[in-house]
Amino acid sequence: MIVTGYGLTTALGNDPEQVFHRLISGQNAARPWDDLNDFPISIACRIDDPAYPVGAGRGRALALDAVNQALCSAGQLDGNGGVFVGSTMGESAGFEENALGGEHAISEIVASTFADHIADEVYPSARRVTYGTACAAGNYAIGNAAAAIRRGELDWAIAGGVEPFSKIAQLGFARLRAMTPDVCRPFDRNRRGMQVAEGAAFVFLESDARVRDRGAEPLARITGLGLSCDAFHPTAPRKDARGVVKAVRDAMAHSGASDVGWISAHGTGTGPSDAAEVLALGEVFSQIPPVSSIKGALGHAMGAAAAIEAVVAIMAMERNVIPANTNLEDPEFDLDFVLEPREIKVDRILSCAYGFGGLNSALVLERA
Amino acid sequence: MSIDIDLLGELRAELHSINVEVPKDLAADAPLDDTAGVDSLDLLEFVARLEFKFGFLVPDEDWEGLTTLATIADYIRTRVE
Amino acid sequence: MRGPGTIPNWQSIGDWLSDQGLEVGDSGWGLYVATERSGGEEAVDFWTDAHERGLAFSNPRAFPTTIVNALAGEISRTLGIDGPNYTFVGLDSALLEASKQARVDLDEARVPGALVVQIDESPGQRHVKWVVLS
Repeated sequence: MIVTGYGLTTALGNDPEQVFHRLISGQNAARPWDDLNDFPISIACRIDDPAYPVGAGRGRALALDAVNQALCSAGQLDGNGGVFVGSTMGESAGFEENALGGEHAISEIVASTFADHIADEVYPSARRVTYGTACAAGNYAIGNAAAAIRRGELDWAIAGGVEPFSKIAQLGFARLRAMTPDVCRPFDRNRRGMQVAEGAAFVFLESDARVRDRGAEPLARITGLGLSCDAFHPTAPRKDARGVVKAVRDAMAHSGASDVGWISAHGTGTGPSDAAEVLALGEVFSQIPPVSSIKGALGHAMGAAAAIEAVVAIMAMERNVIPANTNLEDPEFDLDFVLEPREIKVDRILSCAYGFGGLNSALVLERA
Repeated sequence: MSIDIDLLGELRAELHSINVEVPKDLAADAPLDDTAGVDSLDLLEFVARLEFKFGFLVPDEDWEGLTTLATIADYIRTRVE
Repeated sequence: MRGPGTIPNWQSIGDWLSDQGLEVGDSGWGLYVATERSGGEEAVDFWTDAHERGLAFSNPRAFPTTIVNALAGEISRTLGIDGPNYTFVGLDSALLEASKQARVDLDEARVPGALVVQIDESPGQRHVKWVVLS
């Protein structure tokens, strides 16, 4: 379950080197948008690039860009392959357009359209799996793709998440009063909520044998995935964070690890969610490792978020730098928050992602 | 600030129609939380309906103060006047 | 699989499944849902309604229902299923993946039991097939 390639497209750019550099230099993708002036909040983290179509079809374009980057060193695709994709809203613009008289076919705008288009483009006989598991979907895709390879079902897989900008989400989160009117500050005492983002991120995963046989360069390993459900409320997390504790413990147990060098937190900047996450980490780790969330810089790209964060985690291990928790000025919790980018060699990372419906996921990534 | 009894009755009916678990005779000063059977989504929908009905929006900075039927009624009267 | 059954408009999917006599264990059970378009009609309705009444007045409660895993969340709350919770998106292949994942989780002892549910939505109607695996 080795990663030999990755790609991403985010509000901070679509070149991994560029994105990482911008993260480390403290850049923030949030800004107001004119077409959101009628929304309660007009600030979002969107990709400002005319190369990607506006409207239905945008998600497909974002996904293919990230996939093609991930495939750069993949060699000739053959044997049993899979395409594993996570997304929350699918081609949201398609539903938005249909509400106002459009006639997009359902099969072209539901989340499964991305895996279909990717597979049709790069390897039509690939197994196609789509996880509609909200903001945890990226972890589901990457973790389960790795597991399928481990079980011998597949030789390789393209795995990740995609979320084109959703106006439905931009409105919905604001009306739930979960959105900050200005700055996203995960874990800050004065945090006021999240910001909606868009993007796509994919990894190319291979079996150990395939990597060895073709002499590929291993970049990272995916070693554990833990999942649970709060079964509590449609949107609010359990205050006791019991479900998060279970997901994190399961991920650690399946990876065989007892510690990690960095926790890439879900950290959306909302009151209850950040608090529950901290509580859970305190229950799992007797001494909580360094923690940061990059959502203050990139926003919350929903179904793509965990995949973007997985790619950033791999880059952090490659470059021996962990990104800071952007906009954190007055931490509410007594943890080792990464306040400035930290030059440190890290061999194992825990990446957490939770979603509506009470979903909890934790992914363990390791240095190859 | 006086509370208009008719307005309170209207609010009680609206809240009960959103969630029938909430007592029809909920006290005006009862906290609108799980002690009254009011879930966070219930409160959000309740205030949203009132915003539409009375024609104003509640900014986030005022949201924290909407904790009981009484405070909501007072707020509506302030905004409508 | 049992079903298909048609869920009346007035009833939640969780309550309906509960009425079918499903017995789910105490803790750690997995839920594996397969659906092509759950949340899609809700997304269109949310957006239509928001434009009719004005975006700023849209109903916050409706937004979480637009997400494809909302029904999986509802089932898990009603039946108390707190283990791995999956929503696979697609037609027949999604049901295949859901069943496969349930079997893998059982074989690897990640869950003590599994509920697999296929949800088929047509405008205004919801049909469900399900099976309990252990």
